[in-house]
Amino acid sequence: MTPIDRFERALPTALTDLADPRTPDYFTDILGLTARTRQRPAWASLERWLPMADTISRSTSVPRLPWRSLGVALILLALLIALVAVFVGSRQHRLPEPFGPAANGLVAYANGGDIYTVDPATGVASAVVTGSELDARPTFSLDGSKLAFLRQAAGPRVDLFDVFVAGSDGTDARVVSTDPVPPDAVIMWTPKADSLLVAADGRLVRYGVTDAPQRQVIAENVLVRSGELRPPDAAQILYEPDATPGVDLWIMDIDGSNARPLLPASALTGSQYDLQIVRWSPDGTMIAFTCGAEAAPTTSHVCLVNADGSGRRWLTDESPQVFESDFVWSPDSRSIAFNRWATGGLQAPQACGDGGGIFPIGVASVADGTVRDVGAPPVCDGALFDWSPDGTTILSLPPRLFGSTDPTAAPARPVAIDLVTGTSVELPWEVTSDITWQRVAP
Amino acid sequence: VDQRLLVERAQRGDHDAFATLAGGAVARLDAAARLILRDQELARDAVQEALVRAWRDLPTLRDAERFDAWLHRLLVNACLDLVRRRKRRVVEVELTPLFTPSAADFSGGVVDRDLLDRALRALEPDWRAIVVLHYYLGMPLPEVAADLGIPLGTAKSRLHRAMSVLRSTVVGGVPDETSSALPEGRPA
Repeated sequence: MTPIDRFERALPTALTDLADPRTPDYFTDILGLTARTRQRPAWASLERWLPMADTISRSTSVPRLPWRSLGVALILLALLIALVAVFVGSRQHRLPEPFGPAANGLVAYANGGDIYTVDPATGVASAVVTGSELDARPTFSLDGSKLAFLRQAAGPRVDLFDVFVAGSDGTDARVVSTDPVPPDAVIMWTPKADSLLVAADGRLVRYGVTDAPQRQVIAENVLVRSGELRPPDAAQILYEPDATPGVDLWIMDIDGSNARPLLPASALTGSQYDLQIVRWSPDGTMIAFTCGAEAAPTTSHVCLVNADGSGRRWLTDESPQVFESDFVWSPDSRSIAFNRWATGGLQAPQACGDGGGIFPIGVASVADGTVRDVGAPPVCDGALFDWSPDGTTILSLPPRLFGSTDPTAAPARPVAIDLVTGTSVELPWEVTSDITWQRVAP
Repeated sequence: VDQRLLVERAQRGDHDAFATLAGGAVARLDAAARLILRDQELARDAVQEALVRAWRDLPTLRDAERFDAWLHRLLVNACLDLVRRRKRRVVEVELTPLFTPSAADFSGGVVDRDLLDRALRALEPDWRAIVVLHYYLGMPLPEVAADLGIPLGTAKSRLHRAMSVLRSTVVGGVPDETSSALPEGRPA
């Protein structure tokens, strides 16, 4: 047994010794405080979305209205609804292309186990999927017409979820998965929004979402990450063998056939940062991925390779001591935004504690690798961010919200970074999960 | 008394039942908070916030069997929220005694308290939380990841590198060369 093994075995006892657990002298004070605190009723979360008082007061006031006025108002209301329906119906026929720039729609997020949408321009939020179930991780389809999300599955295990699909306004929600999935399952829409690809536990499955539930296992023993479905037709998908993640990158046709290596292990450095994130460019001509550097094995960089596996290169010419990660393609495939840290050996966490070590989000030109800073430096753990469909804005969030299904997560205000001016502003609305931005027709 | 019955009584507003539940957990919570925050007063605030919230929100807990895990999650969230609020208010300079690293002897399973204390302080609170939840409270890593709202791979990666920092400080010059304490990328 090595000294390292002995250290790990001794750690629980050492932590107990260091903490010296005992009933603290302030416990009585806390009990006094809780005794004076009112409990939330179990149905409190439902009450938020059922305006009982309003409903009751409205019903009691109806008889006081003059019938003639009421009739006129109802006719006007019906006309208005008809006009809105015609307008909405005409807009629904205009869907954006599944990849590339589009106009900005709503932003969806989860809060307290429900799904919300918010208009990022006005900050007006609406609960679109509510109820006592725990719903999380909404994902707009590429054409913005549908919304997929996870709902905690029935049964004793709280860490399993069913995959649901609804309209973009949350209506007609229905389960499409036949087997529950873990909360970190990768969920990808196909371009026509007619099926979902779900990758979890080493299996890639396609679920049809238009008719009766359809399930097709595409591949087993594969690790598929989000962003690996090839635009624009989703005819191919990248993956790694599940037993050896981060070692080499493979590609197969979307029916699971024609599997072949795209980036063999010899094309990578063997770093732990190889292939942590892999994303096709929206035009489907390039792949960006994280890679290590032989000269600086403890750093991560953004690398590029052509669709056929040729032309592997670093995106930027920043110092090997800059740690690059968490990248996102711009909708026009011309730029890549990413988090950056100054690496500092084993003392990096201390430097990070007072905000040091983190750089502003970098936006690099794919053509020449030049990098520019945008926005203020995010929190020390970097930022979770997404590019607006129109390419003008980046929304930044604390990374603790990444993939969160926790309904009690502390809320955070997104930071909008204007990519023209480079300035950033905190938005006046809060989210408690990762976000998804709806693409709409220009 | 069966804990599940106590939880159900407390959910119906029985404060005595809650006091029994809290009394059984408070030493553990206080110790975990002190390990994560490395500050007695902050730990007190975190435990208070976690227990007040536990009492207030207990009727909404769906599975009484999950009370302990739920309480741990409330505590770690309270700890990390305190850290975030504190960072916004003031940047504190902490004076630590001069120290010369030395190789530690684990043959008897003993870890030097001062070395471990120093090593823990070298970690970010998020990373300390993973170490404390896993090694002190004995929570499986998938549960730790779920509580912290991070992917399992990220939790594994952070724990791996947090342990590397702890080893390098406590063992003295025996860092794991395959890792570092650098902020990591999140798996996509």
